[in-house]
Amino acid sequence: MRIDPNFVQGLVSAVNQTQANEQKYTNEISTGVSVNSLSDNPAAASQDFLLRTEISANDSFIQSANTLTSQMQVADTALGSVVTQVTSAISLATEGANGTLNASNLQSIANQISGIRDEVVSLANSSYQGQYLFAGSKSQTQPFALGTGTPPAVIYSGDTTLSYTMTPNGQQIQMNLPGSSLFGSGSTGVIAALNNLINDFNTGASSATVTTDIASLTSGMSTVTQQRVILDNSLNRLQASSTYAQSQTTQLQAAQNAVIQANPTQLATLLSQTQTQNTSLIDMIASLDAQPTLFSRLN
Amino acid sequence: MATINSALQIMAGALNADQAALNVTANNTANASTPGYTRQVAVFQANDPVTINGISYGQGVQMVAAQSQRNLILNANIDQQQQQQQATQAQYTAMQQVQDIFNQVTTSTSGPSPGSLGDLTTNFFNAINQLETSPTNTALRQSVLSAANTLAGQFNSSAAQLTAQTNGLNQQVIGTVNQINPLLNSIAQLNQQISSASPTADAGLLENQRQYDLQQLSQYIGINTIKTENNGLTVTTTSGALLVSEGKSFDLTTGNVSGNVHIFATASGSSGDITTAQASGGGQLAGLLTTRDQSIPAVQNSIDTMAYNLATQVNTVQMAGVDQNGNPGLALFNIPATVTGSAAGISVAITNPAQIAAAAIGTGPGDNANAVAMANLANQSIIGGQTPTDFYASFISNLGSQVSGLNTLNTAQQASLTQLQNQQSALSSVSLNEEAANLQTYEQAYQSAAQFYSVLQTVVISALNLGMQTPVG
Repeated sequence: MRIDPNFVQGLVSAVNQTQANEQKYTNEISTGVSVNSLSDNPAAASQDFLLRTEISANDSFIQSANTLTSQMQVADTALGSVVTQVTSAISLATEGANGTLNASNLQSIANQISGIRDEVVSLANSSYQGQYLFAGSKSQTQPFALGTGTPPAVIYSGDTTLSYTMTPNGQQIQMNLPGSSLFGSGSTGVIAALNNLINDFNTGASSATVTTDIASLTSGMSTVTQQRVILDNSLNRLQASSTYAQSQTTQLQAAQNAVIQANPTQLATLLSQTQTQNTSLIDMIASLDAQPTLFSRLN
Repeated sequence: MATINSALQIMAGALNADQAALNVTANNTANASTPGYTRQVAVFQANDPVTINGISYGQGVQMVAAQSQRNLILNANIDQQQQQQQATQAQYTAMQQVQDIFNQVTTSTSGPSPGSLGDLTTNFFNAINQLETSPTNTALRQSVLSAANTLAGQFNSSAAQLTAQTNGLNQQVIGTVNQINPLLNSIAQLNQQISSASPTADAGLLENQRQYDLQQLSQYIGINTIKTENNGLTVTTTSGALLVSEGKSFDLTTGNVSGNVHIFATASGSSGDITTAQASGGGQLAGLLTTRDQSIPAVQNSIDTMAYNLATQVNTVQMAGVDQNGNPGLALFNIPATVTGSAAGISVAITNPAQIAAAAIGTGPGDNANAVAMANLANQSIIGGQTPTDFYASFISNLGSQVSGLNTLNTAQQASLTQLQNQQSALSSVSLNEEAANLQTYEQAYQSAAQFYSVLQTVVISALNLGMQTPVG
């Protein structure tokens, strides 16, 4: 059979092919990534997108969780201080109720409790980065103020809206405590109880009245403590979710690496094979070109 | 009885035949690199013998033909394969460019997001997620607005790039038609020349040219050919529109139909718009038309669907809440009323970050319930029954698979085209070694004939000098 006299042309296209492969392998080695366009490996490109989306959602949640944790810790610290203050108010009031103190001492107790009340109101108006922490959804309005009566009513300007944040796996975590459920409003709650005690000591109320008001204050304090437990639970869940998101991100990154990372050892082998092939082809073509045709031998 | 004269005539004929064969070899050698040239072989034929007194005497040789070494079926196969391969290659090249628009892949797991439509959608939802923590924070509100603007901008730019691709393909269609028409013209002229020069046999060099034109034509458009009488050739498109008949060619024309270039056949009886038919017809035109009229619109529809559903769903949630000032939420995105054109038409409707409706109706600005609802859209099946992320992941996977499939098909078709071309080359290409051998053979034959001639001359002189005192010579 007659052979194709132009078969060297075919060899040249084989050289082009080996060069294209060389370029591909070199590119993968230099970028460190095996998927440099969607069609290189459509499944991997799509998988890579899903993984990086999940990683980015986790990163975003971790960042949110950090912000929230700081904010909730500030709230928790405020509530801790409220408990400390109220505890000392209870001991002062108990001391005043035992009937052994004179009027001037009672006045002094009234003044001290009044200081504590102001401190508790101030703590109830705590803010974080310009947001009142115990105002429900009305975080831009100072939630607590005292009225003008005697004892003054507690005026709560916030609302009872609860806010939640959502973790990447869909858990809802409560992130605020409305002021009214912590400190009460009108004539109930811990602030109102403090007001009543101040009034008791100012007016020299009976020991029985003081004892009743101490009981109200104690009950108000236990409300604060109970609510604080909700906040602490939220804080724990938030931190656990954040930690989980972090460890998940590490795993996701490992998975992403496995999907897209180039395998340098394998590529180096492939590249070296292709180079050898390329060189041999070129040598072969050169030697074929150097071959004389029969014409050069004719006389 | 045989005569010396007839021997002389035989040798004269041989000299002529060898000289003609040398011409064939010379022409083959000269055209060794001519594209489309088919080598010729000198065909020698013994002259009819003469019978005298019962003895049959040979009457020498003549060269009856310079026969082109071609296989019409093989050539037709190459044309067919060429049409398929060129269609795939044109589509592959065009779709690679479409893929480049969405080619944002991770370059480093620790590096920045590659910024694809899908990534920017995630960024938008992440920004809302951040806003949940502190709904009155202006910086966080501004981030949501910025992320929305970046996302809308990427939709716009992707749509614009697809439109640019379509425009580019329209230009290529016009360019291809401009390549086709001169070829049709040339084939018609060759038909005429062939039918007058060689109505019954292979037309040799003219046939080479016609075959070469057909091969060129097959790169551009899917065609069928029919041999007609007098060695003519009728060329139609694969869909049957007449392009060349005998000595006449019917140019293709182009025209604008609803913004795209369409192709029209002009021969009476088969005139009209052949755009849709040629999309599956073969040649570069088929690849260009398929990409322009099917592949790109499908891609366009995907991003339109994504933009439309995303915007309408976000708007619905946004309008169900109240903004930082307690006013009912306004639409966050401007979006066309229909899916078509949504990616090109999407924009952010609000400019004031306070207008983002993070709070539920009846709550203060510190509420985040509506922001939570908006961020949750990221996990809901709001686009074609899929979450935004899953939708985009399927989209890029489909696009990548399509391009990768075209690449595989193109490689396979190219390989079988190469095989056919090798077969053709093995049959029809000039081999210089072979021509050198022929040259040697014909040269020796010529020398022998010449030598024979001079010997015969001596014989004639001897015959003339028989019994002569003074010999001639």
